[in-house]
Amino acid sequence: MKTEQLVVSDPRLLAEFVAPGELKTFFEKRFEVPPDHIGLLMRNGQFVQSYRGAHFSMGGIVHQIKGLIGGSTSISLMIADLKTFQHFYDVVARTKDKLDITGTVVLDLQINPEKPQNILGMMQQRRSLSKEDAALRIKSHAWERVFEAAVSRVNANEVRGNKGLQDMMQADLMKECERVAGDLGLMVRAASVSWAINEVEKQEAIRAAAERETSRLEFEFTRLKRDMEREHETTLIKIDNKVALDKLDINNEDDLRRLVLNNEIEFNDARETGTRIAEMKVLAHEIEMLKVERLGKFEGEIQQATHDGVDLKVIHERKRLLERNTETLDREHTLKLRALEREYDRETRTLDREENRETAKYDRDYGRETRGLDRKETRDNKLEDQDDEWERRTKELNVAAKERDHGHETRKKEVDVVEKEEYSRMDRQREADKVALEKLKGLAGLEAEQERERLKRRIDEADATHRRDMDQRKLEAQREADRLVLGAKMTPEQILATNAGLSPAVAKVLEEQAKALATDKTAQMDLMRQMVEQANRQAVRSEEQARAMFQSGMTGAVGVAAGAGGKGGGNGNPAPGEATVECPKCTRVNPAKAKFCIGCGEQLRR
Amino acid sequence: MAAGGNPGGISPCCYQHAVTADAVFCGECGKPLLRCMAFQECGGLVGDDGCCSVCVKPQLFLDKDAVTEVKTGGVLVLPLVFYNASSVARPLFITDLWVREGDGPRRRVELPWKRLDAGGSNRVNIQTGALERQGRHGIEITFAAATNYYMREERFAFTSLLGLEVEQGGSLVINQTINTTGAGTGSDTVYAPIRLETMGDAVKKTPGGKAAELALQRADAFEASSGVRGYTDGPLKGAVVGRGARIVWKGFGADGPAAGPITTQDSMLGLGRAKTVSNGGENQVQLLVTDAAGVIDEQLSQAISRRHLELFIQSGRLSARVTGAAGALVGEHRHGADDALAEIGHGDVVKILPKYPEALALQVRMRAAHGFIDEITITRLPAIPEGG
Repeated sequence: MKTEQLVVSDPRLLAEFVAPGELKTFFEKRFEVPPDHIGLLMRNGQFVQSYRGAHFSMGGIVHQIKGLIGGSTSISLMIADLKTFQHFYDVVARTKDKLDITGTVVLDLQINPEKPQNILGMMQQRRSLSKEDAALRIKSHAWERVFEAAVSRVNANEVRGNKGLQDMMQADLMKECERVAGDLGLMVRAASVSWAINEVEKQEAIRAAAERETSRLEFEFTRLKRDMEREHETTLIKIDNKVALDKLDINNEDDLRRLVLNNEIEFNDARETGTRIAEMKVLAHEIEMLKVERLGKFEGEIQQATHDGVDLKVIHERKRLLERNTETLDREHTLKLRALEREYDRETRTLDREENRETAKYDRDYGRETRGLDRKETRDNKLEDQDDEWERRTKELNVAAKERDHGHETRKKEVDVVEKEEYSRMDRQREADKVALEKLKGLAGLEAEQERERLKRRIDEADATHRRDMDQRKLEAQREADRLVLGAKMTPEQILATNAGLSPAVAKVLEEQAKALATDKTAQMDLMRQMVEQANRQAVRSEEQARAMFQSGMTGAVGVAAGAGGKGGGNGNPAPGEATVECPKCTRVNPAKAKFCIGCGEQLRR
Repeated sequence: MAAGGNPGGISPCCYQHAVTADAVFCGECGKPLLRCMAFQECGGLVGDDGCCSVCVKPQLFLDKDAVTEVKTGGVLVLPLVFYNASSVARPLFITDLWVREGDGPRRRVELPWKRLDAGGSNRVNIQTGALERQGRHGIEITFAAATNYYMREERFAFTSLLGLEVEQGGSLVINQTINTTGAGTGSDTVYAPIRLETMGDAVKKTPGGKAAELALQRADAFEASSGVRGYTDGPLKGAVVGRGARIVWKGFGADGPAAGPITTQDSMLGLGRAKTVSNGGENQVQLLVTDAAGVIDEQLSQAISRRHLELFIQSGRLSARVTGAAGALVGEHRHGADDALAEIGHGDVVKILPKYPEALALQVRMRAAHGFIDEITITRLPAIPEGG
């Protein structure tokens, strides 16, 4: 069965009802709605459904029978174009700078595929809806609200290429269309305005063209000026004069003009020289070419002549023979010359050797004589120096002996003077004492006074003794107090030492030595006791004295403390009266008991 | 530390003979007498390690009430007490302190103090990391102690190991055991003074509220590796000069100084223009400029001071104090009045007169075995002929 396609009858139409006659047929008829159209089915005045790419089957006897039995039904079908369509119209709007500008609005519209049945609201004749009618519904609303509102925000020279402005108008237009025709099934897909050239733009274009022209003229002027300057710099003017040189004393431009008018001078452009140089070059090139051509021609003629019988090879061989002979003669000449030179050199060298030998012999003889003379002179000089030195020393000794004798006499005189002075001083003293004694004897009354003074002296002495005793006691008490205070911090060894009356500093030294020398605690205490006794015997009072005591040797104490069972010998220094032995290596005196020399480490006995 | 009655492993006989000022060898055992640099004050002798048991006698204690309460993942703060047990009035200087937990890296702890007078004590707290792992935690405490005498300084490192037992079974139990495994001042003893149980009231503290002494051991390997002692660079990096290292003098002619360790009273060798001690002078080695034939150049010799140089071994390194007015070049560096102390390494050349470097120089070479330098050869340049 043939299928009939349902489309709008006119491309200018947006939607259209299918005529009822087409649907009512005796035979069944099939209709198809293509994908870019939509079919809206209405039954008994009620919208049933919209179909996109639908397929209908209508009419036919079966349907008619059904209609007869079940009653007839009114069916109508509307076809709408779903493709977007464009609508153009002109708008005039006023810009911010109060200029009316004209533009062409392009609207892309489409039926809303979601609710296509609403376009029924836009149909006035209930038959069809044209695209223009649909677009015009929007135009009147959008004019003021969209275009005027948008354009009034910009100046006339800012509308062109203003993407922001276009976006704003499109958005506003879409919003307006949604408001006006959104429920009528129409929607705006895109909108833009193409602006015509306005007055401001025209003026700007003219001004820009004028500026461009000015720039071009200025550039042209600059170029010409530069050309002229270049020509001026490169042009040489030759002045040919026909008058005397004194007349050429030109002071101003008028003088120059006068001379030119009188044809007394004329200017020749030196650029002609350049032209002539170029011509010369061309001529040289032509000469070169002619030369080459002539050479080629000559060679050709030679070849031709060879072909014609002239044997150049014979000529060349003869020439080479002559050259070889010449070369041989040259070599023979050179060889002879070298032989002569060698002979001459040999003779010269022989003569030189003989001369050198004689000179060396003469030098040797001369040197020997000179050295002999030098030695003799040196010896004589030395002898003279020794004599001088002997004389000088003899003189010095004489002078020294005289000085000594003189000094001895002087000192003797001085001693005599001193002795005499001493004797006289003693005499004076004796006399003075005698006078004093007599005076004392004469002053017997003063004896009582002397007795008083004697008693007073004794009392003072007793007081001083008492003070010393008290100080001593105080010192002892203080020492005891210190000992008690220090005892808390002291080791048993130190306490032992301080109890024995030694100072803490001495006790510390003794403790160090005891610790260093003793083998164990018991030996340490024993050693400490002996050291304390030794220190008390030697009245050690200070740290320095204690160290000195150890330096001088703690012979007995150390011997015991060493725990060596009487390995005495102490510190290595032999005690008085002790047997000693001398080291055979370094001669140091060691105690006889020492196994090694303390000076050099030499083994003294096994 | 030193064993009782035999400090530093030095025989008592050596102490007896060291009392004699000019004694060089012990008359009993024949060993050279190596005196402490501060012998004048302490009267102590030293062994090859250079440590004087009289001057350097630090003690480390874990303070009483050391641990209060620790939970799993908590940290332990160990209050340590450093005590200077020196019997003579010689101060110690604790210069550095490191803490190492388990096999981890050593962590340096900043110390707010340095000086530790004899008989005095200073405190410092060290903090462990979080004790989250169950089992035995080892903490190693290492510190460097220095003793000074005038411009000289000897540094030593001591270490102590602390074992912390962390058990976890419903409650955290920290059982702290301190083992004195080193050579202690007395016999070896094992302390277990602290046992902590955070469960209930079973927290135990140091018994009797006394500080527990931690056994100290010389950390000789650490001294060499960390630069506390010995050379830190050069061909003999990590090697330590023994205090008893034999010094061999070459090129000084027939009357040159005898080879041997430094056994003087002040443990220094004096070098200069003045005569040697054996000839009534003050030096151990006489330095005079001579020409190739061995004839003395008096003019140049006058430029050498009477005591120009002092050689000594300090912190495992051969060192010199330049006392001469003309100064001296050690390697490329000039030492003099402002910069008197110099460290001398293997291969260094000491030029006595910087203005005449070729006039007289001492070349130093060292022989090391297993990181220990036991012989130093000092060669005079130019050498004096043996017969000269």
